Amino acid sequence: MEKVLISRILVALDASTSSRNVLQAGITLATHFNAELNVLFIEDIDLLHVAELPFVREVIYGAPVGRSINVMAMERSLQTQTAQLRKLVESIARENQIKITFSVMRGNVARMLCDASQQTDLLVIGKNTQLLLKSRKIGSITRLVLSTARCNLAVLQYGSSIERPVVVVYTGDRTGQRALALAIELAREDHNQLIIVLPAVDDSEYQQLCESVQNNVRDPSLQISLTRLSINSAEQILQVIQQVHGRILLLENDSAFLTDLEQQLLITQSDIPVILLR
Amino acid sequence: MKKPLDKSQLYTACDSSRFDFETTDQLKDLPEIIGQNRAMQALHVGVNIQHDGYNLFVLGPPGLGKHAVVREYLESLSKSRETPPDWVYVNNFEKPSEPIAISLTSEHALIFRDDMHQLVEDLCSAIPGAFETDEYRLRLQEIDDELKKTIESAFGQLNEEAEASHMRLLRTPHGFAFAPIRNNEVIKPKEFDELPEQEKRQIEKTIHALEEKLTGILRMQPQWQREARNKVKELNREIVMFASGHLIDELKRKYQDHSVIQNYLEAVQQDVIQNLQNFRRDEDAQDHMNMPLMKMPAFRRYEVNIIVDHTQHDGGVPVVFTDLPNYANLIGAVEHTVHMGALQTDFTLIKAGALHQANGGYLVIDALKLLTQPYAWEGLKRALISREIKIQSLGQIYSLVNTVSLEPEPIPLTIKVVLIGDRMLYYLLHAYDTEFKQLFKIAADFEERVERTSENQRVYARMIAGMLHRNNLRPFECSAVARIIEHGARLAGDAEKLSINVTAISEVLCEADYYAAESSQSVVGREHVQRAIDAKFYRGDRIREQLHEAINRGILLIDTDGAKVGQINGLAVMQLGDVSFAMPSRITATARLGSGKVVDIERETKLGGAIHSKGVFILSSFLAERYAKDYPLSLSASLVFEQSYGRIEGDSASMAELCSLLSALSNLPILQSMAITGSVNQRGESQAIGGVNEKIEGFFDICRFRGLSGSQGVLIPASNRMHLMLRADVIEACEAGQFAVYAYNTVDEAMEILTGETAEHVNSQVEARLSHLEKIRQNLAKHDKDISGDNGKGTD
Repeated sequence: MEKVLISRILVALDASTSSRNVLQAGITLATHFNAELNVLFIEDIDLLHVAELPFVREVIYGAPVGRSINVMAMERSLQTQTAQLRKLVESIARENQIKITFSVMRGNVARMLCDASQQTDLLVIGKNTQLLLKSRKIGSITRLVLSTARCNLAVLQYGSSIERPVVVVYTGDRTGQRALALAIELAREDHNQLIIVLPAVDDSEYQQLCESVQNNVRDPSLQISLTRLSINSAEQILQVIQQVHGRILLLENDSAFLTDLEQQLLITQSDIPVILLR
Repeated sequence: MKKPLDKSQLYTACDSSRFDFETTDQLKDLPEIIGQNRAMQALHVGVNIQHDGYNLFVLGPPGLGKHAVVREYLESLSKSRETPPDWVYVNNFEKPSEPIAISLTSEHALIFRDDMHQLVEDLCSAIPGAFETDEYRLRLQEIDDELKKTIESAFGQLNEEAEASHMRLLRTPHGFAFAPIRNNEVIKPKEFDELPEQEKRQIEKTIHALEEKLTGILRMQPQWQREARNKVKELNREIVMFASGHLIDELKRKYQDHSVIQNYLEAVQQDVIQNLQNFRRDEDAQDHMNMPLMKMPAFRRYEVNIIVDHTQHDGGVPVVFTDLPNYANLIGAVEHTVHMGALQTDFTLIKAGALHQANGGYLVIDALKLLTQPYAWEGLKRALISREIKIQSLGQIYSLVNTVSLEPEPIPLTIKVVLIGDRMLYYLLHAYDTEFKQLFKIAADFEERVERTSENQRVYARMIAGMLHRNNLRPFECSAVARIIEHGARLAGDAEKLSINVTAISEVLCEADYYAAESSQSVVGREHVQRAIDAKFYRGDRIREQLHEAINRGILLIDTDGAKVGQINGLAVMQLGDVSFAMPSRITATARLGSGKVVDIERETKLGGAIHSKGVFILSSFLAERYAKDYPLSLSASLVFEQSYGRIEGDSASMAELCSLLSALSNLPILQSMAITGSVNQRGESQAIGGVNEKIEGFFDICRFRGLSGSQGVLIPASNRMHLMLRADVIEACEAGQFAVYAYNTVDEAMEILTGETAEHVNSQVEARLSHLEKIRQNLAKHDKDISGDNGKGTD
């Protein structure tokens, strides 16, 4: 079975305080895979564009009326944000005794992230949940990155962290095998417990997938639980996760058994981190 | 010639053969107190009258056993009365600075405290359990989801509206802003500038409208959060009510007849709801793992501070004696603990005072101790007048401190206070403190002496038996009891009285028992008692011995033989500690021509007291009355106590001074082998004095040292005969004719004994001398007149 090499991890941060969890998840994964960890903060160019519009005001929580903004003030605010973030990263690196490189870029956030994803093995991002409806739980940037990024992708809800047990959706194809390999690697630290979800529409397919699992998983120390999906849907996978108390989900991107919409729904509705293998 | 007193007059012995017992073991203890009928009646009345102000003052000198009598009486009485309620202080949840006082049926304070401890313990397990149920989590999640949904919905709708208007909501460093978009991208400023003016204005208008809506949402957010918090609170309240309701209801049922406890439990329930985090914080519990539950800061508020608990009593009302009646010990106090350098307090630090402990019963206080403690007397009076115990620090009362402290709810006071003190204190308080009269209406005046009748001697013997029994002493032979009775008469200073100073008697009993033990005797004999009396005197005898030594060495000049004009041996008593003894003192008088004035040198040098001076003035009057009725006294006389360097008080030497003066006037010498004591009135009659036994013994000791000649003796007023209880050695010497005690009625009788001349002769000599002096004075006056007349003529 083909092993997945994760030697470079890129964590995308924004200025919110909750992105600390995203960084912590990146550190956990980097430590596990012994990978190089890079942190990227992208100054949103759109903010500078908006600041140039004379009538736009910044609506601040607790302030009775909106505040006028301008480019200079926005520049200063971004600089402050960047400095604070750099400080935060440095302090977390010290706490965890890990080397982290921190870089700052300016531009369109989604595009810059996609560009940066070409240079990394795993991109870790958070999904904004504060401002949107439940049905559209991920932001436009996350949506764009999901569809565009070339590397493996870890999507976290702000506040969540990398925990076990690991749940992997195994389709038997090459990417599925890569997902299974990565899941095995992640599962080793949790009493070797691994839950494998098999999206098989009929018994023969299920039998094949079971055999495939047996062929590919030769480590006798692993405690494997096989779960068959009755219906191939995001909702069904979420139910399985809830039943088995799964804490992290691995699945292949662009899999045949889930439509793009279903996959997006799965990521939207999932309260646990999802790692998409490409 | 006057005859000396015989042996029977010098000592009234107790005839032990009249006793119908051999040792005190055969005697029954005396149930009541001897000779204190008046005091006991006062105690009875004072204790049984339940009206205000009928508190008692037990007065009398120390040593009469007042405390023991009062204790015994009150304790015997207390058993038959109903035990008063217990009192506790609990937290006032509305006003923590004003703790609530709760009274409970006797012995129920501990039960109530245990009930509250159990309640808190039960709550500590029931409440976290209730909050760990899936039902609670689900309902909490629902509230959280509802809040999120409300916020998300508001933002979602706004976002949708923005997108419909080709706007995007952006997160700025400090908040939010709306940006116009084209082709799913934010319009760059340059592109915006190129837009038609109308479109620009439309965009601006749309953005402003969206901003208004966003501001509205942000403004509503705290309200939604508050509503969610209130829902959580209400949920918590429901859960706590569910978890704790039955526990508290159970207690309410138990105390259903006690409205104050009902209200308190209601307040506890509300407080538990408001502070339920205290019951859910496991980590705190771990921090205080070794601390009892009710000692933890979070649960102290539910503690029950027992102020008065009657479980230790055998029943009846309390009888409390206070050793240190200071303000705090009487009224109670609010103590403080130091935490991080700051003083802190709460209702658990309220400490009961003696008034709390004795409430419903009797409080016995030593009056002197009470009056010497700052503000204690005032505090006691305030409590008795207001009939409630209000715990306030002195700092609060006198506005010395302005810090916030506790003001515990006052506790109603029903009490009988018994003050014990000496008579002077009682009379001073009665004279100068008007409130004292209102508050202490009953005075129980203890007698110091009883009549020495045969019946009383038998009763006295039983009293001794009781004291021996109580002190676990050996039994006394009847002769030893007789000696104690004789000693009691000597202590009373009167052969016809018995001292009931139980302390002094008890000391002799204990010492006699000791000497009996030393002699390996199982029964105390008369000799042991005598030894105890002698040893006690010897221990305090150092000063007397030194003074006697000074006399015997001729440093203090006292003649015990020969005769001298104008010189006499007076006798003065000294009291040092427990021992009193007499010292002879030489008194001299001189007489010469003068204007009728008798000079008391002690008075002139301010060494004489008022009573002594009065005695000397009486001499002048006596002289004028008896010898110079028809002409003025032409005399100038001086009287002095030789070698006296201290203050002289009393008139017991006035007869001696008169005799000395008469000797000086009559030129008849006074026998120096005699000493005299007694006071005199204007008619020359003798009057009784105190310490007669000591005075006789004092002169006897000097004479014995120098050798008893048979001519030595002491003159005492006839009215002091009944007081004689002399030492055995004095009596033996008198019986052998080596010493004599004379009782005289008048100065004439005294002068006859002292000079060996008849009174007529003495008086005629005095009259002749005074007449002679008067003639000289008249001649001198005539001579002066002649001289002045001649001088007048010359001048004219």
